[in-house]
Amino acid sequence: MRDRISLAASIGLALLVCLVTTESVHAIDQVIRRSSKTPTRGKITAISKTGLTVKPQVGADVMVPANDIIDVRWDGEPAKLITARGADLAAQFARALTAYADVATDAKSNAPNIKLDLQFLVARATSGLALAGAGKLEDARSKLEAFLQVGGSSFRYFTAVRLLGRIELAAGKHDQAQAQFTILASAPWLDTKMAGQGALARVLLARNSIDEALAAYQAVITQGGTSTDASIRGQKYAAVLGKSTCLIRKQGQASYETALKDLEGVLSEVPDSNPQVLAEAYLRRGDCLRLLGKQKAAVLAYLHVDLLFAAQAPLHAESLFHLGTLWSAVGHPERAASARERLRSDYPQSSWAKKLGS
Amino acid sequence: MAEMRSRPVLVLVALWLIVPTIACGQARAPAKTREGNFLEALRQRAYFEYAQSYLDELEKSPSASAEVKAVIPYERAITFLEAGRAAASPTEKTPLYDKAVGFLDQFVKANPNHALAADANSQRGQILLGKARVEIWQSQSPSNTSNRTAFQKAGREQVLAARKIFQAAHDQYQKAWKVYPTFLDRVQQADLFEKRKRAESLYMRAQYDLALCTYEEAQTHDRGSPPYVKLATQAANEFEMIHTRYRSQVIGLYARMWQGKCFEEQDDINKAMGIYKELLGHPGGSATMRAIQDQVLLFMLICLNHEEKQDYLLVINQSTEWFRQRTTRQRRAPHALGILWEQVLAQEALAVERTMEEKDRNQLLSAAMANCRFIQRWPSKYKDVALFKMRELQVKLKGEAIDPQDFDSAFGLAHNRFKKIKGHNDKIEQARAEKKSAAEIDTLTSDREAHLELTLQMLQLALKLADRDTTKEDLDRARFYMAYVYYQQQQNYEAAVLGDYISRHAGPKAETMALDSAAIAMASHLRGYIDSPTQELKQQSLKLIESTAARILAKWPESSRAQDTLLQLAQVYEGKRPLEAARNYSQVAENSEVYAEAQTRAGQQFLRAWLDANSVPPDQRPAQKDLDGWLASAQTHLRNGIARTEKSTPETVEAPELLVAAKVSLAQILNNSGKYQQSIDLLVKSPHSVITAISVPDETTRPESGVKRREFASLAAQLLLRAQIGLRKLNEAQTAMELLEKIAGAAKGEAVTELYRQLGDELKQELDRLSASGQQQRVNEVLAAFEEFLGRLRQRTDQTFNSLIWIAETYSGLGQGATDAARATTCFGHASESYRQILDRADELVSDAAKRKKLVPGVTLRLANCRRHQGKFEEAHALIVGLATSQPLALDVQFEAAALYQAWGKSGRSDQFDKAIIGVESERILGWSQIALYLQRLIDSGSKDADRYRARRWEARYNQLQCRIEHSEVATDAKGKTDQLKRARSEIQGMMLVTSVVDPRWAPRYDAVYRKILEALGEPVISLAAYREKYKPQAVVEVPTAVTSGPPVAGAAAVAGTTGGTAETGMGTLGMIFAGLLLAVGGVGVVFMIKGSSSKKRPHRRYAPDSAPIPTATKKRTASGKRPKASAQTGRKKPPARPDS
Repeated sequence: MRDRISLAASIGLALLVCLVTTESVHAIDQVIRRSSKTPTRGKITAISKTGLTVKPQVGADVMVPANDIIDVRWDGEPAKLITARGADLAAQFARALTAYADVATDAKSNAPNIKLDLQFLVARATSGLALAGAGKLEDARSKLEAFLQVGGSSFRYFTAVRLLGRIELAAGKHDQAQAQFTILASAPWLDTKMAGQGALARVLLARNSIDEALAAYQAVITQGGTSTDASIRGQKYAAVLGKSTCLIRKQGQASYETALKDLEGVLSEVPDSNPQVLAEAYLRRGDCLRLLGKQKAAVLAYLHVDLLFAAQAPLHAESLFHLGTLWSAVGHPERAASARERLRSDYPQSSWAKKLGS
Repeated sequence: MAEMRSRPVLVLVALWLIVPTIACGQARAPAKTREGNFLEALRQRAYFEYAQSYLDELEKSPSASAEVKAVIPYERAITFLEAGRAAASPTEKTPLYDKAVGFLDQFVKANPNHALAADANSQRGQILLGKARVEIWQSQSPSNTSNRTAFQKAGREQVLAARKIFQAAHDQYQKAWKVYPTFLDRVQQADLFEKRKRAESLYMRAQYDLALCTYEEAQTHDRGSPPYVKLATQAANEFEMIHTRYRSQVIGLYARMWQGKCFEEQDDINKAMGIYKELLGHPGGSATMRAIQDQVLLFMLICLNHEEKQDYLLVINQSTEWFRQRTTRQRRAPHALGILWEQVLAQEALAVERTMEEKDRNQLLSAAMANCRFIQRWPSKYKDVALFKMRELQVKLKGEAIDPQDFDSAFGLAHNRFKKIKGHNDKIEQARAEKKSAAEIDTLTSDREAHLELTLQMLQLALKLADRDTTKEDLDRARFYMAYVYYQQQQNYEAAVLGDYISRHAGPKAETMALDSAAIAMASHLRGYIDSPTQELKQQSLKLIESTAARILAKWPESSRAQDTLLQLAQVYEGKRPLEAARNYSQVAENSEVYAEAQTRAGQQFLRAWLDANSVPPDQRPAQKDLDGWLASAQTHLRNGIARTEKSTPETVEAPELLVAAKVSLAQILNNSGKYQQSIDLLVKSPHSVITAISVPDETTRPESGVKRREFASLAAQLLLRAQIGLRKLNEAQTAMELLEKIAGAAKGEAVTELYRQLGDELKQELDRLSASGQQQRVNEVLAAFEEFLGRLRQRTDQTFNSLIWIAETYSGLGQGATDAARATTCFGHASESYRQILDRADELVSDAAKRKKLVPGVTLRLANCRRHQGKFEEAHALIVGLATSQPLALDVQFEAAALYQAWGKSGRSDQFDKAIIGVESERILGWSQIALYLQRLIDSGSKDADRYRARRWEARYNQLQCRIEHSEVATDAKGKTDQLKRARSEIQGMMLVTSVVDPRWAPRYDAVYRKILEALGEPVISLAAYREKYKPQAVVEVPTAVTSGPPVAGAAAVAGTTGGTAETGMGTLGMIFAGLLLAVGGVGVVFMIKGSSSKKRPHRRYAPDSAPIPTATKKRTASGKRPKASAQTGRKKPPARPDS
């Protein structure tokens, strides 16, 4: 009861704040940033592919670099857009797309900035769906390309480029992917550069140029140095994961053990707020242990993804795939069957489910 | 509708899973670390073994923080606790709970000030409650009907222990909560407010725990019994109070749910449903509220499926509606699967209603099948039952006529058939109970056999149809069923092999099945042991029994089957390896139903081991320290058994036979140690006086069995007499003698004479023992007491035949027991004097000519024996030749004659040794070798006394060897010496070559003799066992033995007598003079007779071979540690009361 009262009070207070704000400011955009918990509010006065300029009600203009932007809540945008974006960020891409389609029918979405951003958001959710194995890569590509044709000056540009690169890579179009990631690597920010270079390493890996990929990942790691910047560290960790993948692909006990050591570092340093890196680190750890013949330990590693990071859909699917075989190997065929069942049921389009066969 | 009947168990399981969730959820600190979250998730998935592996990993990991490492024992405890809660059977639960307690203790000890320390203590309370639930579960198992009360009591004790912890916590938390003021400003006094909130939360939890204790305590009483109703009502009130106080809080709602459960269990379904409906209608929409409502819905569906309601349609509608509103993921949550399971039950129940049209019926069954398939896909406790249900539904859909084409169908059919075995057994048992005609019983038995055969065929087909998709657990279960069917068919080898295999290879989830399989193997081996026609085969079976038992005891030491195994083993050992029997009996747990009996038997077997050991020559006896230890153990266990039995027997109730037997055994020990007054108290004093217990109104009509049978009664009187003599209370001794004569005198034959002879014999043994253990003072005391008593008795002029026999036999016994040669000669002189008086006054003393004719040769033989001991060989010779000539086939005469020549030879007349061995044809004396051959012929003829003859044959052969050795010792020339020794060596080796099994009671003596011979010959000394190993004899089929009823010491006494006189053998005079009674020697007789007396009353089913488990069909996954109901054993060949009888 007390909880309900306090919830009602909070909602009331929020409404009040909203009303007060609406009355006092005529036009206000909100930039949701990675580097801050509070959005930057004000009127967006300039947009480029490197960032936004926000003119707050009080004080000087604020330049928000594109690599720091998560989303923008546009002044006058349809209310439903908030819910749609929420679903998108929660990896509920199908729901997000339905919501975006609904938003598109709202007249408020015709405002140029909103319209363009909505085009990006739809492309992003479509890509998410495709990368999770629940949608078609071709759809994602066409939507991203369409956006890039008109959004060359959008702050979403580099994100779109990155996504397109991933889609191309997932589709096995290595050259196209490389082209996109090269653009990404030319971004003015170190973390984005690192992301681009890391992605290029991934292309090398996809081409089976393992040593080159390994070197490329190492370069990214070196670039990250000892920076404490969360974003740069994130890229560094991603590169460590890439490097581990290379080591795994190289095969051999020494490689696996080196990879395990690197992964141990990632697992102890990366905070729980970065579930994607953690999930992937556990997956790679599982791979190493599995290949070293330590099946029980491998099960434990994959179980981390299944039990703690199930929201990381593609990674979860991968963990289920491995659990689907490893459980049998350690004497639990019923658990293996259950893991396979969940893979088929929850990720029917995923490449991992397809690997299972019928 | 079997599921309906098993519903209470499922409900309890469901409930038990909820309790910890609430309780722990509120108390345990939230797991905030990644490690904690992962562990919690592993436990939620019931991956307990992986949670432990992960903790192992953390323990070793250098990167794990100290904070994480500190809580590892706590996390281990919680993991074991959750595993215990999830475990399917009591056998599995208890050790898990014990481990949990161990780790909690470890954690609290290492981290007394840790934030989780208080919680750890509370968890201990929860564990006790969990253990109580295990006991309750056991008590509710149909197969534990006989010891339901014991389980209930144990459960109650656990609940009370838990309550103690919770009550202390309650008082503490209440006090802490009351410290805070009633009103606190949430904003202004935020800190205080939060603290009070926390204190109140703990206080609420403590109240809830106490109410749960009341609920569980109610479960420790029979449903409907006054204490159950009282406690269940009290629990309902307590829950209601909590709900009233905290109706807006989660715990209040859970309390309300429990209140409903209390009503439901008292069959107040409407009231329960009223509460469930109220909870379902609760407006709250929080996740917790939804969780409660889901659980409540499940309970309500159970009510609707209840026999009283049978509202199957509503169950289907409500569950369907609930499912419609849930996402795919939500539909596979455990409680969701529970709801679906109720739907399955409703669909099945509706489908089989008579009014249902076939189309609808099939539709419902198909839907139920589909639901089962869904349930079976996801992990939950319904997974296994769903699988079995699928098979049943399949059969209902397709019918049994169609030949199964896959494992599932075949196993489903086999499973159905399997469930019906019990019905067949019950019918046969009922027919027998109702004393139906043999023809009717035969028909039922044939039906049963046919049913078993078809079940077996179906199981075989299922195994044949097994493929890659067949799970290991299903395969094992099919094999398990097969093992049981084989066992029912008396195919012991097949049953044992399968049982053993499954017990070794069943997965960790199938612990109960593994244990039950081991029990089948054990029971099959036991049956094989009993059925073995030869000693050698018996030995082989014994090895299998031992190895199976060792595994059960090592792997499942806490299980009730381990207790059964101890008893089974002890029974097999009883009589043959008394020490091992004693040790097994003594390990039976205190909470066992048969603890008192096991203690008594342990005491008796220790006593028997002690007596056996004392009967062998001093140089072959175990260390005195060991002997003393055995006697002390005998005393302790007998006292325990007596105390326990006394405690459970009201004074006004007649003494149980077990108690009387225990007292008699203990009296013997007390007599032996000179504690005569204690012995008399034990025999005479009320309550449950032995003398009262053995008394009968008419001495001529004593029963054939039990403590009132003549042999036992006279033994008790003998002990009383012995104790009175020990105290030198001559009048009382006289009274005891009269009692003894009254008991024995009413028997046909010369029972009194035999009794006196035994008394003398026992006296001799007692003196031997005292002397061997260095208690010379006691020897002198005993001698003095007897001499005084006998001296006074001899003064009497009114001597009767009996009194003279008593005097003669007692002097004879004193003579044999005396260490001083002069004293011995005096005693034998007195004995001879009395025997001579009898012979001289025979006409006067025994007026009945026929009786006299039978008695005189026996007395003559005893006189010859005394003369031999006195060294008056010529006189003895004259007497014995007279007897041998008139009765050449009397074994006792032949034994005495051979012993006479042996003693004569030893006295310096070495020429007599040959006569001792080969006899004297003209005197019709056989000598040891001919005696042995004669006995062999008797054995080979299949005599019913073969066992007794076998023992005597060992004795004769042994004496023959002794003759050779003694002859060699007195031989003056080296050749003569060597010649005798070589002959002895050749004889013993030859004997071993044709003997498959050496009687264990004789083995040490033969071994000692063999070593002695080799040593004297200057040859390398090897043991007889080593020789036998080298020249292992082929199995020689011996005449089937029905177990020696005679005690081993009979032979031992004879051996002892060889050096000082052979004819004192325990049963030596049988058939000659003291025909009639077969009472064994002294204390061993006590042990033996107790066996005889108590066996009929003993609940054999507990540890007879037929205690193989019956895999319960409908509850197979949860029926752990259950013993079969007696009714299910019908139709099986009843084994003897014990394997060795």
